[in-house]
Amino acid sequence: MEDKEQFGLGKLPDSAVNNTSELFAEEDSKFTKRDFEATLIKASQRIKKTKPSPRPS
Amino acid sequence: MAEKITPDHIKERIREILMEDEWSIRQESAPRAIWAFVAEDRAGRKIVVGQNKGREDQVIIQGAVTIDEVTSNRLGQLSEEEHNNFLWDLRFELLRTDLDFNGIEMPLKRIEVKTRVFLDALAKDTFLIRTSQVRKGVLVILWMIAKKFAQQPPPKQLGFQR
Repeated sequence: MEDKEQFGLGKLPDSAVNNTSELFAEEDSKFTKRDFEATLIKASQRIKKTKPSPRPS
Repeated sequence: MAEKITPDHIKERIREILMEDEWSIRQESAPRAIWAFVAEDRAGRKIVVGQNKGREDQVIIQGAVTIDEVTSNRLGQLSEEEHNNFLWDLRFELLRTDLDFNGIEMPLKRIEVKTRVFLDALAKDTFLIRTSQVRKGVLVILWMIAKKFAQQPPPKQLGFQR
């Protein structure tokens, strides 16, 4: 195995390199959206349950 | 007499080929390079192409993946056996790509892959095949990590130890 500094064109700057954070950023944003939607559904169900029934006139 | 092919000629030819193949490119500095381009595909995957000082007879195509802190922590939570197995799997997958690779050691920080094309074989077809190989090498690294953590490993401390 070559020395890291001697590999190919040498040590590349971060801007030229892929990063694993991109993988999970995408995954996290999906989870966030899904979680957000689930929260909205739960909240709407709670509102329905707690809504007072109309009083008899 | 035929005009001598200089690194500038090669650089311009590579720029043309990459742009025709719909890569977005920008010039970049690399420690050992006479010139280098970062090329990015539509999905944002980056590779670097350039020529090294003293090796004007070849073009290097290189790709790298930096392991971020979150991923590094996830890897650190694996048992030693599981961690070692993952590194072996990654090595064997990269061997299949026919690329040179570097950086598969604990702790994982940056994994690099590369290949080269000698000028006497520098046709558009050959160059784009090698470019594609390097992009696949980058994808192998990224996707093996993604696959490994598609499901969170169970906490090591839970349950009874035999």
